[in-house]
Amino acid sequence: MIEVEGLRKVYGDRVAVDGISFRVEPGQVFGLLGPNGAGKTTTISCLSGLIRATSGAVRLNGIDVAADPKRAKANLGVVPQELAMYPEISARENLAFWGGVQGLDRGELSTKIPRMLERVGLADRAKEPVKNFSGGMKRRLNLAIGLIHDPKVVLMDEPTVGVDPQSRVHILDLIRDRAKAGTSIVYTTHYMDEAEGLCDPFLILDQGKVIANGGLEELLEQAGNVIERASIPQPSLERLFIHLTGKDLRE
Amino acid sequence: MRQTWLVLQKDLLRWRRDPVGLLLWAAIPLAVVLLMKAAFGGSGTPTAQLIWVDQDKTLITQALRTAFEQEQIAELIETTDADSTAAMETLGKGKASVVVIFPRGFADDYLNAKTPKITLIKNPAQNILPKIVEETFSILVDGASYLQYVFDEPLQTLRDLVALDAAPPDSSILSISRGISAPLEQAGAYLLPPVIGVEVLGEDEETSGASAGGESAEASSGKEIGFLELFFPGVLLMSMLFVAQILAIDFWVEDRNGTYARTVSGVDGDAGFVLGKTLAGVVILTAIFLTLLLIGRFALQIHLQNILPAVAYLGACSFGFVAAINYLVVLAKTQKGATVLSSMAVMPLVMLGGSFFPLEAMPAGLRAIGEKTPNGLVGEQLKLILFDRGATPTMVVTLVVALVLGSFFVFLARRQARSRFVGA
Repeated sequence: MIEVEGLRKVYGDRVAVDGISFRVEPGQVFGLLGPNGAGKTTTISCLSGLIRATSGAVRLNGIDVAADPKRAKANLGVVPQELAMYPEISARENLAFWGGVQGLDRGELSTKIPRMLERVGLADRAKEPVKNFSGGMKRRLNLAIGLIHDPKVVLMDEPTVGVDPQSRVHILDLIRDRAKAGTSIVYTTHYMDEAEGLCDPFLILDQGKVIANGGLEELLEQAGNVIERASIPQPSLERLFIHLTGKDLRE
Repeated sequence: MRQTWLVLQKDLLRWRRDPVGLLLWAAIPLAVVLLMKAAFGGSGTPTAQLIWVDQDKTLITQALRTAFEQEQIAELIETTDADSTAAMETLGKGKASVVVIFPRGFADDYLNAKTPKITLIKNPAQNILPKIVEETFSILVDGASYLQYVFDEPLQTLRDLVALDAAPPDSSILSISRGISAPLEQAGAYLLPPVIGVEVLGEDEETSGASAGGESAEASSGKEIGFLELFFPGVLLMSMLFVAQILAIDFWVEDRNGTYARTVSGVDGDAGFVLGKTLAGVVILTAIFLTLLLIGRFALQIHLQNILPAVAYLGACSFGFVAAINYLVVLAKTQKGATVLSSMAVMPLVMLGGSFFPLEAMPAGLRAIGEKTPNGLVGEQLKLILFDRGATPTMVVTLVVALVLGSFFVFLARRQARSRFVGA
């Protein structure tokens, strides 16, 4: 479970995240949405303990990240937007290193690595240097690294950017499986159709502030009158998102 | 410690799988020295080949030639005699650096205060060696010209005596002696300063080592240090500095790929990341030192028993260098800035600290500075190890300073990396 209360992060005189609160129950895939610069990555960084929040509290499975980071992060998996892995070494060696970073011992690694490689469809390429992999294969490995230690809480920052449809389906299936197994997942993406099919509930951020929060039906219902007034045909998450955040281009 | 060990193993594995960049940088200094040696040719110190074509064959030309037989000049310039045809033929084949021709009547012109001419023909294919001869000659010719001005009168008397072709009277000899001694007495205080005594330290120990030590005594400090021996310690340190810089830039690669942030998100945060990378650098450099020293063993007859102490000493000292360069690299705001900043530290150290030009070949002022640079200090101690001169208190001091400063820079680099890469 993830609990965020009044999270605020300020850089100099710029407020990146302005007192947001939400809660992610076990088994939920929580869609954290927003245009570029909305504060999604800053929120993820605060949740993962990478940066310290200016104020507010983050608890992972009831453990405060600021007070006891080591214990809080033991059950945390992070899948960053970047392909955060080492291209010179193999998929197996990458998983061994990152599993070790998450505290797995040699015995645990020997059972979890083959299982995870099988699950992400890389078992037959396990010994090959990652630099030879396609973009989709690297994305799947990126996901596998975040899940190697079977975390109870997973933070995913645009994990399907630039992948082929097959790899995307594979990645989304794996995320659904994790959720069914009781993992709490925070998921950020710019693909609204993907979020609509995967996430529930949602939180839409803009300029560090929460502008909408709740399940899809709830959000569409709340915005129903607005949408009706704006004459938006066939209400969808994407239309709602554009309506709420505007059509202006963001940095 | 767990994260330190993991990061160390991971970096070693990465560099083992993709070693080309590192090996190139490690080998460049060695290649430069080998090319220099090939350019100079032969073994030992490079020497200029000078051919005398003495068509005058007098005491004056002999005196000028004798100057090139002085011990220190003779080490740099080898001389032979030939007639002009043979000399030009040898020069044409590129087997000589310079041909010097004393024409007939040279001594007469000199004694008559005319302007005698020496022809100096240089080998156009060589740059440095003919220049050495030319410079030596210009100093010599200046000296001879001053003698001509100062001792004009006695030289004139001497010319008259030579013309008489008979035993000179005592009065003439007295006149020449006075003519020479009077100006010398006046200028003596300026021209002939007190003799400088040279104190050779440690000679007794070396002598006793020679009598007792057999093989090791041959390589003791009394041994002439050849061209490669002169450059080799500097090559090791230049490789170290170049490789340490390449390793340090990897912090920016870790940032760009998101692997630094992902590690910090792990259970141990950034506890052992910087130390792990620093130690990986030390292990890689130690392997490079060992490889270069084993190559050196065959090329330079470095004794096997000196290789392990040298590797251990260099490996331990490299901790300080790697940590300091790591800190500089994370201090910069961009990867490009990191390259510039670290180069601004590495290149002056390479140039001044005896890694590119041996300290022995530097002017005294620069040498004094070079000896105080970190790599200059380590290089001097390394020579002592490699050439059987034993441990000194300075060696222990440099080791302790390297380890203490290294630990301090690891601490600073950890804080700076976190601030620079994740803004925490």
